[in-house]
Amino acid sequence: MLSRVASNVYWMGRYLERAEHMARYTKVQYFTIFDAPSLQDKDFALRSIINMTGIAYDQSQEVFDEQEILLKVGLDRSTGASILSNIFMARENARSARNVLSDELWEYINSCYHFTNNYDPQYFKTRGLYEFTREINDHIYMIKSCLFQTLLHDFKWVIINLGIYLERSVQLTRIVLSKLSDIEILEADGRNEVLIDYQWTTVLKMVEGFDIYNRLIRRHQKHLTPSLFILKDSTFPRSILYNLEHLHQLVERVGRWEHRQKELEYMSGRLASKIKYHSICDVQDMKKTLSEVLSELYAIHAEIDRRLFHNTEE
Amino acid sequence: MLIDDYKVKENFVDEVFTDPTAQQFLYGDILEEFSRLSKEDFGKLNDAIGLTFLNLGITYAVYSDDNGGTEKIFPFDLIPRIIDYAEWQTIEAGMIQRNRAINLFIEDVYNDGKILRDKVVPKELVLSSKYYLDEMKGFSPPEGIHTHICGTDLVRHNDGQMYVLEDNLRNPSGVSYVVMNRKIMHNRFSAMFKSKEVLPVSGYAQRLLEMMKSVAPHGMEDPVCVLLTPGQYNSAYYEHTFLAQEMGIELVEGRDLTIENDYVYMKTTAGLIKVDVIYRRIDDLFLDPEVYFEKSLLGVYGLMKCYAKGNVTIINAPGNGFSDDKAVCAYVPDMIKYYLDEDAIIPNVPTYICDKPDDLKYVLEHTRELVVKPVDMSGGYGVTICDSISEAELEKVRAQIKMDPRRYIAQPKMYLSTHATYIKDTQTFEPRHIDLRTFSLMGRDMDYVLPGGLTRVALKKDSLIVNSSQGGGSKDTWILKK
Repeated sequence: MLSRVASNVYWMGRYLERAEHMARYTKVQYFTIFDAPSLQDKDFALRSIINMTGIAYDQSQEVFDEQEILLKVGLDRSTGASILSNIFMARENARSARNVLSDELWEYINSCYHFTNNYDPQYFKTRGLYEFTREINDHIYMIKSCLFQTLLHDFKWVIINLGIYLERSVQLTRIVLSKLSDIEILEADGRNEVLIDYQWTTVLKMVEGFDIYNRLIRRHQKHLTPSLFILKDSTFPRSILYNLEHLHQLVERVGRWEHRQKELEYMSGRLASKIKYHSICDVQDMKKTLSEVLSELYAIHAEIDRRLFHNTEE
Repeated sequence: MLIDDYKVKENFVDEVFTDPTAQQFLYGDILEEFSRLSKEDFGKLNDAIGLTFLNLGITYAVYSDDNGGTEKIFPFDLIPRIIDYAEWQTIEAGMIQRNRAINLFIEDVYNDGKILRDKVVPKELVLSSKYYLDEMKGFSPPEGIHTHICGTDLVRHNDGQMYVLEDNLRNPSGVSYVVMNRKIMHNRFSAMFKSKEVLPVSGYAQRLLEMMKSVAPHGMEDPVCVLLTPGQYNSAYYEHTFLAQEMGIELVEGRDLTIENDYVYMKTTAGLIKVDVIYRRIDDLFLDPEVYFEKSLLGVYGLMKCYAKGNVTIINAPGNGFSDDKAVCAYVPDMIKYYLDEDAIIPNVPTYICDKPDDLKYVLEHTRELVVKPVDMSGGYGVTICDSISEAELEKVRAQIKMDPRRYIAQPKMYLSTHATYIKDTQTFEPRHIDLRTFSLMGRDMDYVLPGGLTRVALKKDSLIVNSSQGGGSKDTWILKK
């Protein structure tokens, strides 16, 4: 496979995954505003959206312009941070690798782009957020279904999935980290326990694990905490451990077609074990561990980029 | 109804309505099928098909700085153009004959130069073309083939006869539309195809790949073929991806290729892989910054050296452009006589070469009746249809010709035939002018013409310029056996 094309399909996977997480995060976080007891807490939720998505917004302002923030997150073309830009980039990467993708996969990615690109900004910022983010997630479910069903599960498929699982691991880690920061702020302000617990509920909703988690604790895992569930449940597809293990399996599969990537295997394997066998004590400890996970994920990305996409230049 | 107010244009052949017998045989079923649809239903169908093209990404985009691309589809007209099989057989033979003669001409010009010595084609005309490449002198590509892919444009004049308007011997485009138009017609109008024998077009990519393999360096058995694209911002990028995908070959950009010891390699995740045949969709002068435009980022440094050593085949061969110069094109019937000792099966549109004193005199005296074209431009650019311009504009055209006669040719105005075409604004069928771009392939022991080709239609009322860059659309083209 052409190195450039391999790199492009990998990034296609990453951008798709990023857009999906941004849409879900924004939707869940925004609608928590309405459960918030005070105006100050509404800005708290918006601040969290700004920090998580990385959009440029001056947070020293006295009053946050909610519509402007939403527009920047959803449909701003001028920054790489918006959902639209991420979908645009996913589509551009797919376009440059068009001839190695299936027609169906390309068509779904392309129509997802047209949906986003043609979305009316006026409607979006006043009433469309829920519908927009829902649709984005639906589109991406369709794309992933196509990815699974209409491509050979060969080297190219592994590369796309490396992008997806690496990005998902990054996003999940960042979501939890961002909530840990929120919790720290609330604790420092001496806010009540209920509000702090509510932050974990929000995280569960952001990873679409709220219902599953509730079912689990109601039945037989009474002592399972949300943080343990999100970090270490190896059967939950949006737990960090599940994704790190999957990432490692994909790295191992690369060796079937290309030279074995021993260093990469070592890095991804070690990272999965780190979470699997780590006993987490408190918020501080969790923050430190997850920050390390994030750095190691970035190092894995750098290694993938160097070994798989630029190997001919050595 | 859609067709009730259809008025055939006086002085033009209308492909659907001029000949009632042919109409019944060729178009009877289709007109019946369409007459069952209300204006609203037809409009809906038309919109739905537009959306299909958009979602398939068969579009061209104008990108702005803020990523806010507006994308347009090339308009597709739902009413197919139908050509009788008997007439097609003549066209097909004509295209094969033409391509063979042109190929022999290019090979001769770069090697023996017999035709120039015999003064059948003026030497100056050839050597003064900016597309004549010195690097090709004395070089013969594998199997002696230069024009592997030829796109020839035909029009039907009001005498009912087909004429050749021009040849495209560099990078003729549009073939993906032929295949996709047919696919979409199959999906939407399957009933129409059930009782008919329409020659299929889906085999084109397979034939293209066979052709590529047949001209590999040193007759090698299983060559690695690639398609070289300028990249995804090129207006024909869709076609490049389509062809690469259909052939199952890599779609490479210049930066994916590298040269070592005068061989071409592509950079893959498994290391370097040698490339043997390159179907390039970039122009000659961008192919190799070592030889041509040194700032070209599209090509590959050192490619021409590999080519000259016979280590890679380039399709089409570089240096063909002088032969699709419109002034040289006028000599194709003479080439056919010279090389094949045959008469041209499909005649050329009569052409006055302004570089010839007698022709120039005629052109300057009869400018008003003529169509003046630059010899080296495509896409309908620079064409002046002189009967529709002001006296002052006409004077300007004359002045331009006088200043640089070599740059211009003139042709009598061709009365391009019309075809019923759906017009969205009026929600009816109206006559619009059409032409036909044929696609011919030439490989070792292989001559192939894609059945039908691309019918291009000028959507602007009364316009005779069918190019997509000038507001043209396309139609599915059927070769109807029975």
